Amino acid sequence: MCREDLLASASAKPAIKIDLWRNLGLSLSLALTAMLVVFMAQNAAVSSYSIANLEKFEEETALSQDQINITLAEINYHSELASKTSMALSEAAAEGPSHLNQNLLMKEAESLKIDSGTGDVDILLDQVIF
Amino acid sequence: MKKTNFIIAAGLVSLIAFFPKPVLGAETKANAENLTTSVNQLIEVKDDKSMSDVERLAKELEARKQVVKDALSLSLKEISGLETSFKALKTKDERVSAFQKSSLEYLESAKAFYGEQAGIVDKLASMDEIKALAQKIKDYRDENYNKKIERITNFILLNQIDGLIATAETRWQKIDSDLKKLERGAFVSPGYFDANMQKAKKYINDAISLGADAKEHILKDFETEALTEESAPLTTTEITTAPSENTATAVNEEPTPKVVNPKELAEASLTNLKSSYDVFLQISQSVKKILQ
Repeated sequence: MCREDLLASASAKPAIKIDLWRNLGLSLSLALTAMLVVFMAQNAAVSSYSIANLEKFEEETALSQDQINITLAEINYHSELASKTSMALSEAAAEGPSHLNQNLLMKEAESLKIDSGTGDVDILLDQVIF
Repeated sequence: MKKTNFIIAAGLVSLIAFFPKPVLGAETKANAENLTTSVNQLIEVKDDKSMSDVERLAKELEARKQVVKDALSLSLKEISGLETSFKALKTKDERVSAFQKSSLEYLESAKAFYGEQAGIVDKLASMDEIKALAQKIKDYRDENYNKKIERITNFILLNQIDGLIATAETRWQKIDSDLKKLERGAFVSPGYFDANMQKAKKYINDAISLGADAKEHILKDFETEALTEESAPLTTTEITTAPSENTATAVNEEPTPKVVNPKELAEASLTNLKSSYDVFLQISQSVKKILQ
């Protein structure tokens, strides 16, 4: 190799350095763009996932609330059955006219109560039974 | 997409499969309706002035028999439903096992009693005999049966409530996890829903305490009764103890009245659980608004 060639190769080094900086800058901007895209995609995914989850959640919550209401109604259902059976047996064992039967009168008085929950019990049980 | 649909379908199927079955099912309801009908028929016959006395008495006798038969049928159906639910109860707790065993024996004896009475109804020929039988069955129920059946029913329902509590706890954890994801994604400020989540957690914890108190009352009542029966048969006990102080929770931020029996405790437990779901829904609606 002659002296001129060696000088020429030495003077070319700064040009390589400039390319490296350019490449580095380009790579960094590409990486930042990619990170931004990933971040946005992730946020969009979390958002859509959560909305889908919320809809399912509301359905499941409604179901759970129905279960709770049915169990609440069932707590009183036995007492209602017991009182119904007791009244029926009293009627079968009773002397005298039925319209003076105390249990019957009590039952009729009970049915006049506006907040009587018996109907609700049946409606709730129907949801499960039928 | 297909996988998501499959997961949702599987979730719904499992929810339906694990939906608590009513302790007293459709057949009991049908039997209860039959009993109402037969009582109404008896009342109509008793009041019917269009028939001769002989005819009316004959019809009244049949109507009374029908009422007794329907009452027996309803009681047998009730026992059958309770037996099925109680046999399905798996427990390692010795106290619960003792209660379960004793209750199943009692249900068996009650079934035998009703079966025996059902066998003689049609053989009765006089009004006095059928009246006496009706009174005998009523006395049997009033003496011990109603109390024991209520105790068994409440215990079974409390076990159902345990399942509902477990579902609510899982729900709380899932919501908590989702909220943390939203916080990480900067959709929600950290701690924004903390107060609501703590409120829901308190409702669930109170539901657990109230349910445990109710079970404890039932078991203590059973154990006291068993001891009393050993020393002096046919003596009954009453529960008058108040629940532990940490359990009563106001659903609408009002002071809760003192609850004194397992039924009321179970109701209070469920009311707390309902309140936790109300909070969950409030959170869900807020999150929906934030994400839209």
